[in-house]
Amino acid sequence: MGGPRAARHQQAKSKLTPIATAEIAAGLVSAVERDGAILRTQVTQRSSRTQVLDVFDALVRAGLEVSGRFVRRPLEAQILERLDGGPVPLRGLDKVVRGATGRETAQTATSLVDRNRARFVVRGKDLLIARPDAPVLDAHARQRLKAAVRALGASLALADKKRACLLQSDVDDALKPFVGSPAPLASAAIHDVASLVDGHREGSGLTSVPKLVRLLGGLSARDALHAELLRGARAGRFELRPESGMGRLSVEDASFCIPGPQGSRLSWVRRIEEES
Amino acid sequence: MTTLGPAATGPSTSPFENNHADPWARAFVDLPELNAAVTNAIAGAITQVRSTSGRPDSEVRTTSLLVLGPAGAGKTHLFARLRRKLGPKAVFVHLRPLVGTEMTPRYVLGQIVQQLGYEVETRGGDRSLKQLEALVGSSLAQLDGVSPDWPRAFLDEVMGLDEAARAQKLEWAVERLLDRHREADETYLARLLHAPFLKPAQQRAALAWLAGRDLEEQQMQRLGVAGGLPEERILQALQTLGLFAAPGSPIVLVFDQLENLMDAEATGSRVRAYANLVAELFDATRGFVLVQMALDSEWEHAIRPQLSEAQKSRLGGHTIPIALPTPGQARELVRRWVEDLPDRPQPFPWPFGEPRVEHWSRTAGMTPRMLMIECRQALALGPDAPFDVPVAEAQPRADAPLRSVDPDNDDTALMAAWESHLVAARGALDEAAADRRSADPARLVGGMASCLHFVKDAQTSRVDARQPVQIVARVGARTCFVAFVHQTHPRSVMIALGLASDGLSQGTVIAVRERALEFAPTWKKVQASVAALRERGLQWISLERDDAARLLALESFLASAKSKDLEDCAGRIFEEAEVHAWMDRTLGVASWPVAQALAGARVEREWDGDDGAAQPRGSEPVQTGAAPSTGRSGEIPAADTATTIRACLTQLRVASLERLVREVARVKPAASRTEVVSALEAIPGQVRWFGRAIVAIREPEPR
Repeated sequence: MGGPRAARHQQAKSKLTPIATAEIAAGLVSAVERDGAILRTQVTQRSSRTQVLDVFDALVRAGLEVSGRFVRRPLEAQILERLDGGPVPLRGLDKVVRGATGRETAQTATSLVDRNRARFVVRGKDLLIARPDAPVLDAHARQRLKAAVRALGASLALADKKRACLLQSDVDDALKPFVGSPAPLASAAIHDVASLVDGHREGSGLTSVPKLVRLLGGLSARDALHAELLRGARAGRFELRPESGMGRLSVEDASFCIPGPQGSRLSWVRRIEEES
Repeated sequence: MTTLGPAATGPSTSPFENNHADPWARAFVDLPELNAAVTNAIAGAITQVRSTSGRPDSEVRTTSLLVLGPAGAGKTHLFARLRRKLGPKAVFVHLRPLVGTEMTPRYVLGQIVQQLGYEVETRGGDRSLKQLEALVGSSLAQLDGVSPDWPRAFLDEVMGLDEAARAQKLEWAVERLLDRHREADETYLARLLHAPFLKPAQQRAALAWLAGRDLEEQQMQRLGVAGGLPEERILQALQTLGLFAAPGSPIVLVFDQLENLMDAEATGSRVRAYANLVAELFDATRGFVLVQMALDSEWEHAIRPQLSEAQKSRLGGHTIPIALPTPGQARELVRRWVEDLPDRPQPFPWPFGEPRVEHWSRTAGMTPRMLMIECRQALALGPDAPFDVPVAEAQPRADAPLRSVDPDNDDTALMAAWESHLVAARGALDEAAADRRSADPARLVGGMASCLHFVKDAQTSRVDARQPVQIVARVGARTCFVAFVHQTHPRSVMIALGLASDGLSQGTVIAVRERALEFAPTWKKVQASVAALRERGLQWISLERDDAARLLALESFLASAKSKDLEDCAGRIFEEAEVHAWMDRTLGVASWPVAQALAGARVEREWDGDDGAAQPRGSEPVQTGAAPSTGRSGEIPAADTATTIRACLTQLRVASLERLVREVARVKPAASRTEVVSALEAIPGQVRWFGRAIVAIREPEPR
């Protein structure tokens, strides 16, 4: 089967294959980088049958993800990048990433949350996905908020019934504990821990260690801040105090505390310079 | 078998055993420079009240301080220290929020008067002096223009007067006080001034009236009154007390363990009720020093957010954090504890060694309680035990538990704590019995409400010790109304029963009364009323002393769990859920008579007679089940001791050896303690020992 012409064609093609495969892969990679994703059929259209598997290998080596229909930038990375801009609604998430079906997107989002790389949050009636260090209300805070909202609801109902008003300050007071999330500070602030501790003192005169960690950017700043606080405690400038709350630390808050004696977690810091 | 005591070898661990401060302790180790700022602030407030109120035309006010610290930092210890430091210069009252019910002005008044009966910390060879005597003695001295610092001397002087001269003197004092404070309640003032000089029975009656308690008929006759203090006079009584005490021995109200204000539903209603109470005391009374103590985390996260701005300024206006020991203080504290060891062959840092003490004192976040636990553990290892400075702990996993569970040791620690609460509860019952009154109704109601948490399908919808029906609960499909009948006057009992019976049309009404307060044979109307109500479906429970003690212990035990005051042998604090699980597993709360009655079981311990002698069935021995019952005191010759023990323990689940011996002896009067102990030792697989004093039924292993 096949005459001399076919044999020549085959010979020419086999000679060109190594270069052509790399070129094809490079072209496809740049197309994915430009558009976020391409249809998988584009790979098969540009490659011969013998090349296809090599091209796919090259694409995967280049860090791309090959799914049933698409070649794309890894879906997890795409979602995490989106989260940098703030929480994203889960519904329609497949429209803001490239080269993924709705089901794939939902599965990937769930997997990210399961591995603590993201968290689900609620806005209105929508479920959103957010960064893991996004400030959120933990279970206890939610309980307290529920109570506050219930109390405000009752006040509103009474105000309507009696044709009375609500004091703005009362509403502010009721909601104050739940609002306000300052932006992360620069990591340079770690070196001025004393001002940081002073600046974020609560009414009790104590400063929350998890709050400081979060202010400085979360997990990435934790160890450096802990080291500074411990150094300050050894020098007699700070007093680190164990947590005594009734399970009020969220899992994340607990991880932001300094391990203390007898299994305790040091969650509060106090300036003691004024005493010495 | 587990033991509660320390290792047999090595020196005694006694200075390190009491890692929970007793506010009324007389002997304790103190390091005055630790938290001197807090002590000075409170002492300063007391001095300020004394000096201001001693000046004519001065405007004395009530002051408020808030002390915050982690568990084991020494908040309660401060109370004992201040008592020692100030002696009769102040009257100290220790209060803690009740589990499941709100504090009221009447409760505060009751606690003040009750604690007036406690002794003042006196120096050296001074004779003992009750707070009531200190209060009246120093006030009389101050009125007479002499120093109020030596109330005993002045009191003795007045005591030495003949009756007519004394009456004249006291009348003069009342007039002087009324001249100075026109808003004072004259009757209250007069009765308070006379109280230390009355005969015991008369004094008991006067104190019951001053405390705002329900009075017995005889007490009313003695005092010549028609009833106790009505609600509208309670606040005026508090005002009078504050004004009267201020120049000589100001009353220091210490509200400890405020974290117990938090309810499981996080509604904040108890926090707000407490804040209203303190704000009312702050605004409406004069001359008190209010000291509030709470866990810092709970205050910051849970209590403070619930307060309005006005309440914040009254409750938390002057906040003082409790400091943890500096390295030098930690070292000195350990040295002072060691000085209390009976045999010390070598100087300090024996028996711990320098590296250990150095490590403890340098460890960040070490509270005095943690330090004491470290000492106790090191002492148990012995003086020659090697010590390597631990490598800095790595950051634990975020979801890692705070405690590693060790079932045997955990059970032992919790059982020991439970026993100590039982002992305290029995003490409270003895105190109540001496005063011929009910145990604290609010605490018993709290205990009953806590009991309900362990009953299947039960949910409390209202707990309020001030109401005639204190607990309303849904148990399965039934609505239960629980009325704790604690009144000591037949008329009050009739009123309480009448109000409680309103619930009969809506559900099950359960009336509970302590066995110690059985109706007198002359209370015919009350007995007839109870009989009639029982006909209509009222369930009556006579609360045995042991049951009452368990309810009181339950209330305080759960409060301790909330205040992080329960820890394992290694000092790690038990979470509330762990304590609840242990109680469920070991104490069998759901099988307690009150719990069973609430759950709908037949009431075993009920009042059953209207012939004038309220004959309790509750005095029957514990139903032995396996042994044939032959009546109240009949012996069962065929039943062997082991069978009886098993049957008793199945009912009791956990009991002191003494109680078990008592119960066995009720079935088998010939059984001796030795016989019971031998029988218990013969069935090690069926019983579990906690030390040598407590024994429990061993539950079958789950398959």
